[in-house]
Amino acid sequence: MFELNVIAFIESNYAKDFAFSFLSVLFEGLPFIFFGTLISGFIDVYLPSNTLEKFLPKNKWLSILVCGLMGLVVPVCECTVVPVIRRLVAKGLPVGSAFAYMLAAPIVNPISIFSTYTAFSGEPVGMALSRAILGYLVAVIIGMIILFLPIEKILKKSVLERLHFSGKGHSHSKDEHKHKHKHKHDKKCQTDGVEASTCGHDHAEESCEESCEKGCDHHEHHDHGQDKVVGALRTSVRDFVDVGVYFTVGITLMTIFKLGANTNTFLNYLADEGSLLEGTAFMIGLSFVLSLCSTSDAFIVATSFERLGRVPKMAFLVFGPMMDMKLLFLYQTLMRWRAVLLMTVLLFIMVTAVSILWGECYPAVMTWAEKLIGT
Amino acid sequence: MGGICLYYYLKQEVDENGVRDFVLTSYVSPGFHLATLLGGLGMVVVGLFLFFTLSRNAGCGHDHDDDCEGEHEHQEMNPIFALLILCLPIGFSLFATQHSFTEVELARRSELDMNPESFQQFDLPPFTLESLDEYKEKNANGAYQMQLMELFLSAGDPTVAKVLKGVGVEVEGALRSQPGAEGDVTIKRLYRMVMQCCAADMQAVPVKMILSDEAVSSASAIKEHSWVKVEADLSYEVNNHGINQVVLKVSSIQQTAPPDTEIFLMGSGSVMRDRL
Repeated sequence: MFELNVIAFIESNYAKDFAFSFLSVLFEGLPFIFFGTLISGFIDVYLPSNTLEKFLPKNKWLSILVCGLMGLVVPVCECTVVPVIRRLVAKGLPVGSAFAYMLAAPIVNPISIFSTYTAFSGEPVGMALSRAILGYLVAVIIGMIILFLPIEKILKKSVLERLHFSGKGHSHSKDEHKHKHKHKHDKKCQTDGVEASTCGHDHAEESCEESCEKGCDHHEHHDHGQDKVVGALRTSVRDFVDVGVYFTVGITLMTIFKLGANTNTFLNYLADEGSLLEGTAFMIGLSFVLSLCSTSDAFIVATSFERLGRVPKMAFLVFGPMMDMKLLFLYQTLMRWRAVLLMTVLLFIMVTAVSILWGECYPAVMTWAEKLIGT
Repeated sequence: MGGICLYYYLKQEVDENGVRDFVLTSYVSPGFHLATLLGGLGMVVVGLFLFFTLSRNAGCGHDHDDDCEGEHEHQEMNPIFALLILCLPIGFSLFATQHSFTEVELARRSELDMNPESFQQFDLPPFTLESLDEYKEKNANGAYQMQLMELFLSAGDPTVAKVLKGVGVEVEGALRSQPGAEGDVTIKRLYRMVMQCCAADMQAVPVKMILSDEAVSSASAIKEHSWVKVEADLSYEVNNHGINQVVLKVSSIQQTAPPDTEIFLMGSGSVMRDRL
């Protein structure tokens, strides 16, 4: 009986449509997840802790503002950015700055800006710039909010452990930190005649410098390039499985929702009778369910929801790359469940508010810009 | 995973016309094909490399000894459980897929009206009847052989619409009933699926058809969502939503084989321009 049911299900139209839709998103996203985890593995092994801090402004507010723009230099889509950020946080990138980069990068990057520019031919510069600016604004505000929250409440336990191990944890004393390092390295370091904590990576800057002054040279006899590559790739594969699992769960649920949701009737209602707030909220919800890639979502939004006006469309374009059904699960490789839910709610409120506000100002700003260009 | 990506990148299928086509084209737009190839190759290479270096003592990727292993991060969830979560939906989908949507899903996706004006990112060149003569073939009855996408887009451009109004055309597409007029045998819809990014985001580009008596009897014998070739005079009307749309006044309709690529791929603006 059970066998019959399974066979009947596999042969059903729903199963066939699910399979086709699921695989299409898998082929679209999986390579980028792989590239992201490959980068994350090499970051883990080759990027010394706190390197990023040296390049970023010391002021944490300024650092968030700068990180929000990093997507212009390191353009990544939302699938790639999550595993990369996971490693960067573990390597000491301040959490607020990391979140500003993670949320802004899929929008504030040349590929997304260009695709928005191309898709909205009627007002290319206005829409492309507005999207980038609103995305940046929302991302840095979230980054700044995170500064006020305890990271233990935001980051996942495993990420926190890595962060503490790398010497950037904030919830333990220096003694605890030293103890951990000594425990890890004493065998090697005792051989070298140096006490604890000194292999030039994953440690607090201070302790490393201290011990190197004492003449630590143990890198030379166990720091082989090939081993490092193997280590980096092993980390990549571990990350790939971790992130891949959440990605798979995300796109499975997304496909189920997509095939089940009949949005056509509601879209027509919103276009004919719906308020601006309803339309905006609906489009945010739709961007969450559709989970489109940030590099090409502008084409779909520009051509599909013509009757809804520009504010709901803008909300879709800003919210989607920051939070959708697959990201909801991908973020859980970095954050705690509650933190992900809190961020979703915050993003929903902020994107709705800034989009509606933008809609009020946009015509006036465009008229002013046209006059400015004209003169 | 890498093997699956590579397999689908290379897999070809022969259709009923004997034409070979890459299966991946049905799943993702051409812009993603290279990423699928590189991602697949990368996964296979990394997998093989790690397999052959299994015995290498580089465990955690850091400069430590064996004894540090317990200190380092491990898989966040049980590897067998993780593998199950990964393999179940993927394995099921590989088994169940038919490389296309069923008619049920096609019907759902082809229901919504689209506004041709919103496709203006694909700039058309200056357009006259002379250029139509220059670029378009005619059938035996003197009708221009056009693409459905061209006709659809023409409604969004007043200059083109002015040139094409009243012109006889021959066009192919999938047949279905017109939403809102399901019981009316004289009104039908001709559509073609369009892919921007991947199959999951496919939507239909629709054109309204008003059938002549002769066409009504031919159409009644044709199954919904089958590919048809129609001959019609082109006209335009503004629909209930204020959207200018193409209306084909169909004189003849006959079932035909689907084209090599049933889905219209829109990876970039240039693709559209090339086709026009």
